[in-house]
Amino acid sequence: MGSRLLLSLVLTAFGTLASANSFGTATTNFLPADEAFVPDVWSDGEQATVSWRIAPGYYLYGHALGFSINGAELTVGVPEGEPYHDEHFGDVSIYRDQLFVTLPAAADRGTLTVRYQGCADAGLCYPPMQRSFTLTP
Amino acid sequence: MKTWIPLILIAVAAAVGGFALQRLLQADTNTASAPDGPTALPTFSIPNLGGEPVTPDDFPGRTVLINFWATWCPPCRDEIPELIELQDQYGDEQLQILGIALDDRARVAEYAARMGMNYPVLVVEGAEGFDLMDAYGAQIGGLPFNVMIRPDGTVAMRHEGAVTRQEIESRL
Repeated sequence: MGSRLLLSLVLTAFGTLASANSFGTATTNFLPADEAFVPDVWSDGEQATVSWRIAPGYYLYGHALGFSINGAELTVGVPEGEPYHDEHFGDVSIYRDQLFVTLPAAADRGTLTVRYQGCADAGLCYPPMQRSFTLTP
Repeated sequence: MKTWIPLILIAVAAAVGGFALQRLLQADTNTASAPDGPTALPTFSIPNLGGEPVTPDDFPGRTVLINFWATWCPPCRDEIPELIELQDQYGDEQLQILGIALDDRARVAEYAARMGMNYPVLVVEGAEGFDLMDAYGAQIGGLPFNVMIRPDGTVAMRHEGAVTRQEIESRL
């Protein structure tokens, strides 16, 4: 009993000291972009849908959304977002939690590229991002 | 059993001390103090809005605060008035702020003029700006990102996300 307690305490001590020895290593509370905004694409056989899972405390800008297929821009209707006033962008929409965008029926094959940009409420903005997906009919 | 007591006390003290040190270091988890030597830091030469190249070595004897920002970044814009005030207050001898905008040059020029930015504003329009940020130790790649470099070349602060005037002053 006593030796187990001692071993446990020693391991705890080494563990905390090791984790504390982080001089010079930048740490951050913010999520990497691909964890803050997780895009996905799927098709029901007729239309493709793009979705984003948005982490709590993060948001995507509606005006920064863009979609192209094989390099050609798509005109896509996006859901109404949360109204947001930005000094630079003016009155815009933002999305939190999740976003689903259904693509036009004709956009069912080829390389789909989605563009998006967002920020964290805690005071960090990610640069514009883009991800590509292969759509097959 | 008695022989274990000092060992147990040492282990408990180490655990408590380690925990306290960890908490101290992570008091602001977006900021890191780093003991990098001068050779560990990247450098650059980027034209300011007037076209003159600026490097961090142009300001010997001063602490240099490099502020990576963009006009499309609301928390970056929120910092600008405080940075202007800091440059006013400490700029003669102690502090030199360099703003590196990862943005469109014309938009930055208009914004800098409108805000009355009183420190050099450098513009990088391509992805190289984010590479430079990474070279200075950014982990996430988001803006704003601030790096404070002491006159001896060591890093006083790296901060991802919005930073307050008090945090900057505390490192001067």
